Amino acid sequence: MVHYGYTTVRTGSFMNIARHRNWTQPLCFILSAILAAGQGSAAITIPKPTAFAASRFLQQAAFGPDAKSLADVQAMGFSAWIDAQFALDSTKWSPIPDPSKDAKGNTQLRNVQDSFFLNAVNGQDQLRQRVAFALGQIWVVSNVKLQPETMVPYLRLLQKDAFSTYDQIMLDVTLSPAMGHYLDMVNNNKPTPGHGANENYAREILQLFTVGLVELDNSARPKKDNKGNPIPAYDQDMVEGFANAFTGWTYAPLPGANSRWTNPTNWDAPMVPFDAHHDTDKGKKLLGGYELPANQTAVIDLHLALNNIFNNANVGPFVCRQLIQRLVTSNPSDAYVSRIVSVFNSKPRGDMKAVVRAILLDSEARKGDDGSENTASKLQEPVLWTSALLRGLGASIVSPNSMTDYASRMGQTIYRPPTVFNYFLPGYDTKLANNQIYNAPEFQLLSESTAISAADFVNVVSFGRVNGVTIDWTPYTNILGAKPGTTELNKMLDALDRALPGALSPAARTVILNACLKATTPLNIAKTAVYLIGSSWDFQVER
Amino acid sequence: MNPRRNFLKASLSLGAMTATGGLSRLGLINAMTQPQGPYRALVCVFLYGGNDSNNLIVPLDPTVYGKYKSIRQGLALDNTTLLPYDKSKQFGLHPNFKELDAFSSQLAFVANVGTLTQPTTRDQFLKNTIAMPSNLFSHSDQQGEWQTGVVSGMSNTGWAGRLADHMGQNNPGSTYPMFVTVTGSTVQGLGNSTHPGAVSPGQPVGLQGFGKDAASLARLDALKTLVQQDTMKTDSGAVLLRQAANNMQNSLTDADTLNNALSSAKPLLTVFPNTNIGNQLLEVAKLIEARGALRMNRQIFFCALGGFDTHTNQLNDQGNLFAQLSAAMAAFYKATEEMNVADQVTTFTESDFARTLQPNSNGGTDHAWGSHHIVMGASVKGGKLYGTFPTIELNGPSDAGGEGRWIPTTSVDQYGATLAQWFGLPASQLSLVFPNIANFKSTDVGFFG
Repeated sequence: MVHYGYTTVRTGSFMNIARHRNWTQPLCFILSAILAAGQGSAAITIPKPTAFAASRFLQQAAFGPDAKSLADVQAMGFSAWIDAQFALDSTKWSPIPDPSKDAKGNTQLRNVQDSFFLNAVNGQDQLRQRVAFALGQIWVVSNVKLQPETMVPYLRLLQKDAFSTYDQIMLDVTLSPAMGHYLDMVNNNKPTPGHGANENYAREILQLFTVGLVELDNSARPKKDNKGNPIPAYDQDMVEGFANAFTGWTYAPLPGANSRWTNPTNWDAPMVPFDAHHDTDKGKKLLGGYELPANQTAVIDLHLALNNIFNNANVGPFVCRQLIQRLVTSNPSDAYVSRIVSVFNSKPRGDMKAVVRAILLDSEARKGDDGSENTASKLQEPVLWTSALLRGLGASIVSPNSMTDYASRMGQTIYRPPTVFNYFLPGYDTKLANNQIYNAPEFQLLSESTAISAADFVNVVSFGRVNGVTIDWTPYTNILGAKPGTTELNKMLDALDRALPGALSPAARTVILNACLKATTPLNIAKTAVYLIGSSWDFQVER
Repeated sequence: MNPRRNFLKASLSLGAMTATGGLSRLGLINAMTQPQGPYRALVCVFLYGGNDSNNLIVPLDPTVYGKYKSIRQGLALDNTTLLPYDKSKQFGLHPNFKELDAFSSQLAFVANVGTLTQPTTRDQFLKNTIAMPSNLFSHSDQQGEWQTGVVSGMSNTGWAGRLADHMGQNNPGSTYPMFVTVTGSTVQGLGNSTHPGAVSPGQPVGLQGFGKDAASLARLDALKTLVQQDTMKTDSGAVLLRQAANNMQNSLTDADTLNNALSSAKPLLTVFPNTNIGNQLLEVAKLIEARGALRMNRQIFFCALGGFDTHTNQLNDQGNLFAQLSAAMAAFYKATEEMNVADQVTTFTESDFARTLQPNSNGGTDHAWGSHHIVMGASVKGGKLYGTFPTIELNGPSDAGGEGRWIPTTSVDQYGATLAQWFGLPASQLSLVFPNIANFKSTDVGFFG
């Protein structure tokens, strides 16, 4: 096999996983530095969060606030609520035992999608599901290639591992039959004359799941060489080295069957090694100049290769910045990222509980809980935002439901991202009106048509009916009474402000109030208010 | 609607606002009256995932085919099934392109196009003596470089967006975007002074759920006011809020314009296949049909078909995708004939990269570099392969290594510049759209003759 170096990364392109520019960066940096210095610690602990602070926190740690979680967080405080969430088991998928099958036993992705919304809206293990969802946007698989019955064990795996350690996630996903099939690690034979090993999993585990394209410092900014250019984190030789190290795995034998190369599909057990199909030649180059010794088993080579990746200094910044983006803000400051990376790098390395807690309790995440100006902000992606709307309104949801249809029109079909590059790239920048750019992954889904689809969803929620979703309007009509005046209207808006936080600046309140006064019945007043608050960009953009 | 009358009205009112009058007003009018020529549209079909173009067109010459077959092994197409495409019968088209093959004189292929900073040889590549595009073989980066026309460094605008920036005077009196995607957002359509439109195939355009009653009108008015308020917020945390609100404002304006235009457009008779790419191209055809009402004299469209990342099961998967592509593109061509714009619309493909000529050990191929592309339209001098076909040899002069990753011989800049000039961009402005074009001798690949 001919080896040749691809050491040709000159500068990051606009889509690099790492972010390069952020015009507010100096300000963010200064603010967080001052905060960090003043506190002596990065975390601000507020003993009893206000309703506003709690609802803001639940946009980050849950699928938005509902009445119960709002009360829990206010009663327990952030830290105790996080502990309680760590202790909860995964919500069981419904229908049991196999959510991918409908009543007639037919396999349907739709059942899995419906269950996602059911659990997002109703599940008590909100934090676990939110983190599992975030992990699923890094370790992406998709129904574009996978069958529904393949997806479910994988989704369970992510939920089980959400609060484990990052190396556990790496091992479990690498050997999962779903990822094995999705990125071709399964049945990847050792190189034979005229055929190289399949490079797909090797390339993407490096580029997308662990280290990224270029060497990063602890704030996830690219390191530069002496000419000012980014430094590639690996080269084509290493992609081939890992591809060869990962050869020789097939599906687990079905219960009672003899194992052979290759086994038929089995989605319920980790893949198994076949040393006769594993590459034992010398020369498998890994990261940092390490080379795997010749003549080792598939198991040993796989563990050494994964360890080699896990211990690379890029993993902390590469993963932590993305987890911050998924949970809290599109544009974390360098200092915020560094603080989380140092938690990731502490022992035990890659401890997800410690990392998640640090992300949510960081000063930069909590600044703004008192209503003050803050820079942590992100556009809620469609499946989060649609779920948050239902939770805020106390909607009841069943499976089947048609939530997937609406999120799809906004560009996000749950469990069916177009490629392993997810629905959007962590490094996606939006170009502002002044032609400056700003890191904002979710904006990759926002277009002229998806923006209008978002308002149309709220229209159906308010004035129509989403299949499988029921909204009880009486809490609002009760506040309004038979002949509501401005006092009653304001009381209803106060209630909605807790449920759907962010939208009611004084100026907005006046506009919404005036529109409500034109509605003909108390019910239509409530619906008008929900439409205008729910569709507002103040509610769709967290800050 | 007479576009010219509107254009005159627009230029007069603009002229009246120019206080200095005289020569400068004349200058303005001159700028507005640049020869517009007939309507023209560019339609991009992006093949996401990296299309293995080694099996799009295959050499028929027995010696070259023999080399292809011995390297491709199980992935080699049978030469008796290939559709002999060009007049000299040097190349055969994948057998699933039978619908498109019927238009072979309106169909050109361009060989080995890809991302380059400058003309590059194998020796220069292996010794790393000249600048290379950033992050070769990475999907997201190579898609980005194809779409921005900037292969190193960064760009947050796309080449089609910049083309729209510089061709805006060709749509006088129109506020509707020149660039429209029918498949989600793409950097290709982001301009410096223009924004991309977006339409979802088969979906109604504009806000739903409003009547003519007072309550509806008040609610719609309130929604617009809230959006307006959000665009004005200045606190440091409002950056993304403002950005989202600006997009909503454009969405509402453009949806109104489009709804009005579509309501007067003639329904199309051509039947499109009911596939994802078929529905996208149908939507493009509808937007072309609405060009008069939209007052568009130039339009750029973006469609995409995904699934080309064929690391396994390539013969089957790629074959299915090609069949969909062929049927949809053929229907689209017929629709342009129905609308009498076949020579005014040019459709072309882009893709992340091609794939290794040498297969991998499980029925697929891995990420490579230069790829062959399709250009379709009645203005195209079809029945011919343009550019330079790579030498089919591992470790040969075209190979970036030993697996058959072709070093491109035509750059994305040259491919795009050819399309942009046909679209009407003066040669003197090419570097505004393709900043690297000066590094390449020719700015015309020749497929328009």
